[in-house]
Amino acid sequence: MRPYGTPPRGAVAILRWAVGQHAVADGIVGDLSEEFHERCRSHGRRAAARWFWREALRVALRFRLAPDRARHRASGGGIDGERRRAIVDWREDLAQAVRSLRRAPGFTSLSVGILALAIGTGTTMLAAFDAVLLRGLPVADADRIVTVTLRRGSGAALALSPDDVDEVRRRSRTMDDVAGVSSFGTASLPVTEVERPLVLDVAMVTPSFFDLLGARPELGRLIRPEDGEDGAAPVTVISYRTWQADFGGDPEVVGRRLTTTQDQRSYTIVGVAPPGLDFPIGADYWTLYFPRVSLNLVARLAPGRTPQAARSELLSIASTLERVQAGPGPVDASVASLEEAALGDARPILTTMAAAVAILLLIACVNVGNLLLMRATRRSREVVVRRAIGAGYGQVARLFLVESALLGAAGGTLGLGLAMALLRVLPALAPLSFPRTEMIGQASSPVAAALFVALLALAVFGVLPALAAARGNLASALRVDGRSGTGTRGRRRVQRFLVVSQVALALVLLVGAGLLTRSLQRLAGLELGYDVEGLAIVEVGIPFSEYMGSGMGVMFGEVFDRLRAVPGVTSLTPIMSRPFLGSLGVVRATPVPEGRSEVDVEGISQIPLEIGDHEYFETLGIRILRGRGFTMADGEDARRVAVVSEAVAARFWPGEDPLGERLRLIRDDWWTVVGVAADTRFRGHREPTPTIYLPWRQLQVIPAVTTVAVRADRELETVLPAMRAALHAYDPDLYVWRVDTMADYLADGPLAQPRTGALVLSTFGLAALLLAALGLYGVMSLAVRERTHDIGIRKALGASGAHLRRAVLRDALTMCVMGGGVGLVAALSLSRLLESLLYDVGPADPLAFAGASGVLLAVAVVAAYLPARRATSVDAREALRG
Amino acid sequence: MTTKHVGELEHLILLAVARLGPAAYGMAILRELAEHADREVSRGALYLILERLVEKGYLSPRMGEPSPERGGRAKRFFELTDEGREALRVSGRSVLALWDGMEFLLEEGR
Repeated sequence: MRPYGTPPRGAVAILRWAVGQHAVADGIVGDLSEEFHERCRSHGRRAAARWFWREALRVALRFRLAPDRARHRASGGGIDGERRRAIVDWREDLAQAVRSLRRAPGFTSLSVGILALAIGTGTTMLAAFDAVLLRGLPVADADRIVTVTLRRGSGAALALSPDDVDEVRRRSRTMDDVAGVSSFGTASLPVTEVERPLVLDVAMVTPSFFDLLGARPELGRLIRPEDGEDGAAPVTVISYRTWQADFGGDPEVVGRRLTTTQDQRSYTIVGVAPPGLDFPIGADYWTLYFPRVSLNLVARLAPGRTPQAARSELLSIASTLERVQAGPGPVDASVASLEEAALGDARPILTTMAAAVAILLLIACVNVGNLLLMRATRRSREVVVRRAIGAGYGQVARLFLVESALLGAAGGTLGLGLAMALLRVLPALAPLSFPRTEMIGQASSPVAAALFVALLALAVFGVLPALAAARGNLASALRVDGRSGTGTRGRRRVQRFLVVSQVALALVLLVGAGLLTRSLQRLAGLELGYDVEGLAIVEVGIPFSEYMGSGMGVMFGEVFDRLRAVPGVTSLTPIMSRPFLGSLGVVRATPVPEGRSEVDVEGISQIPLEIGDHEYFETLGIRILRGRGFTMADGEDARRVAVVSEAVAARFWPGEDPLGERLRLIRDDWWTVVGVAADTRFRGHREPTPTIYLPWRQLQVIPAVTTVAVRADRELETVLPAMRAALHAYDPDLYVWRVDTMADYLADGPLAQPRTGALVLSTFGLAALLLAALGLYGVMSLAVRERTHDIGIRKALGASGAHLRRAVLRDALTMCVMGGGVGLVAALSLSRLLESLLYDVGPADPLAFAGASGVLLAVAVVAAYLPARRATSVDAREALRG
Repeated sequence: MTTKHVGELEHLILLAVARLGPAAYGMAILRELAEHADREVSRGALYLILERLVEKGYLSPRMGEPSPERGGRAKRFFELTDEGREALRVSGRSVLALWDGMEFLLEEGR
């Protein structure tokens, strides 16, 4: 297997076509491939592919333009007369089609525009979908790789020690190999590369991790089992994304070093992982685990073994592990495919977006088909004349087909350009938490996808009208007044069908948009339990290894006091970690209330601990419901105190007063409950987290608290310089490495995906609505125009304007109601797909359905009203003159 | 102008082929020109001229062994034919004849 795959096939094909002679082309393609592989090694595959395209096109152009090419080709065999005539025919058709499209600039630009938009977005989604979801992970036999999470019966994840992982590895029969991955997934930490500070997400793995995956490096090598031996130099592998973003794709990156700021560990970069290896999600670099890091399992199943077999074997091995026996409650294991683990929760939203794009594309095709059909109607005379002077059915159909093809080609080309631009910006628009976004950039140029989409569109919208138009009705169309007769009834039925389906499809999108928007509203409107306004989270880089020992608590205390003194800071507290970090940010403990034994609390999951100082509740704006928060007096030597959240109080002391009760938390220390705080959504957004708060100074081991919450009475930007200066003055090695407002944490974290989803679907919904309205308007206009004669007679016979207007409107509304009915039924069954994306909104939410129907109806009435009004202004004499 | 005369780029390419001997194929020729003649020739031009020289009978193509890094494609080697050698000789001589006595121009640019 070649490491870098083949050069872009499209470019090779173009080159071969341009050069013609097989042997010559082979030599050139071979030369270019050779250099392509060198460039893959030095510049990365993407740059190499770009280079290949450029060079191939240049060479192709040279060969095509060369004057002696004709001679070349002529010797290869001439074109016989038969074929030449056919080509000339097609050329004539083409020229004629161009002329006729040019004569109708409005129609042409509208259809091309609609097609370009639809093909552009369709292609983009197809390429992104293909890259992120369908293109396999860069590992060998991905279907045999699984991730395993052990859980207590109560739901808390149970991580294993490196020794446990070894034990499982030794004893397993169902798994060929077992490796460990840091149970926290990835952790964002400040590091320096020479003098350059970076913030990168580290994942920790056991030495056989990459071997188990069967991944191949993009550059250099990956971590090997030898790296885990005693005395081996610490090494790291960086992700493709990091290589591109933070090292500029530098081919010399191997050998450079990353040094962690906090504990000054230094790692030599030995290689770059292949693009798309986003596991654990968000990993910027991988190092070997530290001895105390707890791990989750990733395993390669033995051939023929099922995940279920591995799960039951694992459970039996796990039951003998000390760590598992020590804790309360039964243990369960869940096994997920690597793909599920690496895609996280991105799949439903991507699937939704892809489905939405497909619907939009369909609407666009139907719309353009409708436009073509109307145009064909207007040209019915032309058709009939052509047929009358001897043109066959096929010839006329061909003319229309060539026109459709031209429109498709123009729309396709523009759409391709749009898609390429969109693909470039898409990775930047995707929420930060999106996995594998670098794969979008890796998506092979979307030519194939665009071609596919355009062909599909052509087949849907081009063929039908061509056939319908070519049939033409001699008798009716040749009548002097050009009025329609029964021959157009079939065509009109097709048109109505098209309008009805557009309305139905648009409604499906609108309902989807409505549901996601409602869900977003619910999420954004959640009672958080803390005050977002004016709250910021600041992370301080502290090389605390220099302060190890008893001096650390003093140092932290002094640092906090200095920061508190900064003008504009109203209050400040150390906190455990920044919000929404999932299991990483939290330390858990199993509390045992006084007077009860551990047996009683069995089944109670571990409860997250938060730490803070006397300004904690004030800074975060968490309400104290009973008792008090922390004070300055809750120091190292004072009585151990705790504040519990509402949920914790309700769980341990239902209906009782928790104040004064004691809890055993860590080792044998007793903590007295002095306050009850309101529930918060600081760790997780969708559910409040039951929490026990402790004063940070009272923990037995002073923790390295490098994250502080700051409440300021002015803009963060104006406070920050003084904070940086205060840190620098205390110790030049201290610095702020990350700072974000709480509002940003909410927007980029739990609200990012819902917002993207709602935004995208709403945009698509609006576009669909517009297109459907356009279709309705077009059909109604045509109907009014066709029936001018009719209407004239009615008017002459005394029908009032209002009466006629109502008739036209009724007609339009009938179509709308039909389309709406079909759409509602379709939406009801499709919205179930959205269920996993919805929060506190049912997939059949009546408000979303009613809202979408209402909007659709309102727009439809407007779209139908305009032609209806024209009907009433028909002048009877004019209409009847013929 | 006799048929034996070749253009400047053709001349350079023939020379590069002669210098490379049995190792003369597209990429090598391109490199040779870049390194020794300081000429960045576009690939398109090079391949086109190579084929033109084949057509004129100055070069004869020969297929090498296919290799994996070329995607299983063979190299297209070129070697001078007797006519090619003659053409090179003719234009080389005329160039050298004209240079005779003008070598100081080469020095001035240094």
